Amino acid sequence: MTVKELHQKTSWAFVMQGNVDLPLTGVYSGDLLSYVMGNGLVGQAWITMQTHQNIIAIASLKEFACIILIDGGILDEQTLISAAEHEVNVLSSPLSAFETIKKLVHLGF
Amino acid sequence: MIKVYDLKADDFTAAGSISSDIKKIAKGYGMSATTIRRIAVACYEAEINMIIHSLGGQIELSIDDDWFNVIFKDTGPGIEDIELAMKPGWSTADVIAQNMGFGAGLGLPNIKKNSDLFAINSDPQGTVLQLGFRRKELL
Repeated sequence: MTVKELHQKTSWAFVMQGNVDLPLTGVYSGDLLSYVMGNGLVGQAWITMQTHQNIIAIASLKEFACIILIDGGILDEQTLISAAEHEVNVLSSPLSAFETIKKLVHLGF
Repeated sequence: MIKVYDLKADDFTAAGSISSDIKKIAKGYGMSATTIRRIAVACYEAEINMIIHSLGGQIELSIDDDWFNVIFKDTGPGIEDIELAMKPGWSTADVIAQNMGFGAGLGLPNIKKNSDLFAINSDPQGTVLQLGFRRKELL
């Protein structure tokens, strides 16, 4: 499944679009950034409640396929600019982390 | 090749920009995808450590035939107990850093795990963290 297909299947809004044809290799969920840096894998969708600028650098360095913000998370202007510069896909799920993960499990992850 | 970056303390908005540049350079040198990812993780953690804990400093990149070296030098205040700082879960990050999701106490362990050469020296005048990555993976 690509990032675009994930968006189509969930209706989770795009906060920022980079390369939406990137294939998703799996999912990682976490808000403690060193755990994410240490354990996340290339191509994953990263679920987080963090919305500050540093998540863009992490997603870019780790080559995540996308970030999924939970609870309807939004990005401030500076973070949006950074996401655009790094071409990082960011989706916003209106659901909690648990419900977001459940939805992804139903989709076959 | 040698490149030197200046890093300001507490500048969270710029965090990761130096690591991103170093990662780009590593890609340009044709290093393996795995090594590039290890460089990215180790350098990001070290860059963040300097932003959170130090008074600022410099990051020096040098590349020779065999090694991709990155040295992180700050101007203090030093790490009181390096052995403790290396322990997973131990952190002195303040509440501002913690609220951003930093301060899990995994920075230095992550750096060590991802580097081929790891050396750290610290006193109140500053900390020097020396990392090396083999340009060609050992078979």
